[in-house]
Amino acid sequence: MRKKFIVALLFPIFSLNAAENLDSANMAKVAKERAEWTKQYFAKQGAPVPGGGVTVLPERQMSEYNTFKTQRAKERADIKKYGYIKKFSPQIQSLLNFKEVSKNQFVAKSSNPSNEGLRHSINEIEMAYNFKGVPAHAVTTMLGFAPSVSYVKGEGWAGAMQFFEKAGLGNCSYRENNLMFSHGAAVIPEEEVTKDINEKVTVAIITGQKGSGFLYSIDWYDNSYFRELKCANEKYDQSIMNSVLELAREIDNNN
Amino acid sequence: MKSIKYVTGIALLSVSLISNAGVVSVTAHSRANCGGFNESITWHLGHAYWWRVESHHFLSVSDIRPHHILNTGTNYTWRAAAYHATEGYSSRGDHWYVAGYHFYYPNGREILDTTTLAVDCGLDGGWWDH
Repeated sequence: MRKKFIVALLFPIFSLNAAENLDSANMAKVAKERAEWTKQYFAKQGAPVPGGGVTVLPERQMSEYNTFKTQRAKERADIKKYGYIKKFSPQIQSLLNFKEVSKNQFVAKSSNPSNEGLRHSINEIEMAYNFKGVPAHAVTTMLGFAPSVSYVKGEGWAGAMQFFEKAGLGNCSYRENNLMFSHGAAVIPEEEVTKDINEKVTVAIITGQKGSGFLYSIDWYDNSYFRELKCANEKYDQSIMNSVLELAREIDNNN
Repeated sequence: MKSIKYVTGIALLSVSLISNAGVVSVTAHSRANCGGFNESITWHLGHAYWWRVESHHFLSVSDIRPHHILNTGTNYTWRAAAYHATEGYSSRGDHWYVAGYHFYYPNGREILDTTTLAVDCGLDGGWWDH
């Protein structure tokens, strides 16, 4: 009787352990099935699917076309009239005033690896891969590095953002997103695409307004990385955009 | 011009008041079983973007389909948070598994910037399941 009582007490514990072992043995299968379910779920939305790489589509076929069509029409009208999208953005002010904005944002080398604060060197960030960034000869003054995208447990950061000053261009940021670790994906409207950066899918846009400055932004995409280079300058000048494009090509060649 | 200076001042002040996380760059994370909440968040202090976050909450890491999904919708914001209070009590034996999908819409493009997975409350909920 006593034996039966002990067995009855232990049975749930043994069952739990058995279930855990079973889960462990089947974890890869479960992860694969879950990933497949997730891909189908987002594909039904027409949204980018994890690990889906880069897709170029007519904008009318994009899942959020109705959300952005009025905004996009305004942006196109601005570009036609001014050469840029007329808009105030705190991002421009942050970059123009980066030295002031960033001075209290640097963290100690010994900080927790998942800490998102600024560092003086990329070597102070626990990266999941070798971040090469902007070639040293293209940088006038290095301003700092920040972890970006997301922190991958056991690996490190899936991306980083480099801040620097470039003579003639102003203060710039370069952000890289490593898709092997982020599992990112992109759907780009074909109406916006050029192949300016080494024949890769590229989108180049100037945003800003007189009196508050301009942001020269270039995003380029392939199936391994999403990259973005932004330079803030008080002036609007198409020749600045040409120089930023040239710098983006140089960064791409360096990576 | 006065309003520009005002907004800039507020942005600079807010940046200087709160140090570190999500201040100088866009970052994303998921957390699970945080003493009463599960969440997936994308943010960049003082910098608004068009964002959408979906947080898929599974009762256990061995589930294939989520028990439920939180969707922030597509919004212009500096912090897109799919936050679910009143679930995720590790003290009562909850073992939620959270998968966050962080979407970004610059000038009409549709970008899945990153995917974050979490089984615990650490801020290191990036993708580890390669």
